[in-house]
Amino acid sequence: MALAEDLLKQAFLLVHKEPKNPRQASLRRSVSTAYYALFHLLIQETSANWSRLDTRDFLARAFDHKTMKIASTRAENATYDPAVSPQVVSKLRAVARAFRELQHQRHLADYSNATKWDRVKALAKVQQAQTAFTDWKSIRNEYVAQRYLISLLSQYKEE
Amino acid sequence: MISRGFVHQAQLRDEIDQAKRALDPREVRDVQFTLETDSSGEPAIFFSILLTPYGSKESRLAEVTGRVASTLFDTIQPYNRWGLQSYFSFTSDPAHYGNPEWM
Repeated sequence: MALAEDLLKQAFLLVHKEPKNPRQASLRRSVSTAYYALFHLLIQETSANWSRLDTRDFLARAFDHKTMKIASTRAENATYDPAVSPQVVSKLRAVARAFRELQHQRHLADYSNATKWDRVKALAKVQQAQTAFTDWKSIRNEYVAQRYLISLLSQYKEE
Repeated sequence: MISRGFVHQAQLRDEIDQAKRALDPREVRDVQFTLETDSSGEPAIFFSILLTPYGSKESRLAEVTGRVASTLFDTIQPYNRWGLQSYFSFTSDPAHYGNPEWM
């Protein structure tokens, strides 16, 4: 998980880089980096289930942003078995929402010169990624969380 | 799906107004929204939320923004009921809040 954690730290460094008058470049890069932190966290968590250590990095290359967004939308809005703890469901929804939202914000941060950022707006997104990290660590061994990881890799149907 | 959002815009606005009342005025000064498409072309609702200085303090920002987004999301259910992806942006600066380029 080192890369993902390092990217999250870097996102915080960037959002605080200029204490008084933050540059748009710093704020935009912080949001983009926060997205990639969560992107790599989820990929690393999925790939960790692959038993062949020497091929995990190749599996990690198979992930697709669009497929991950579709899976996250599904996880965020799905109806879960009532037997699943509401706290687990709430955290899984929060992780999926963070991923989906950050993907869109990353797109704006990287490409849209028309979109203006202030520190609160950028920091809220970086903190959303941080909360997603914390939430994920507390549910990562739950069955529904593992199903979510699989769905990130392929557009299979739940039914 | 986007047509549902447009057809019932008045109803959507009413529901958002109701959801806003559940937010803590010590933390949130105002909420506005626009309907557009997101970066992948899906119909979306973009909420912009003006926080108070108290609500936007860094030590409580994550908790406040998470709770505000969850309250709006859970009440309105943008995707399941309106077919809209939802996005939330926060600021404490009224000048940014009034600037369409900020959203």
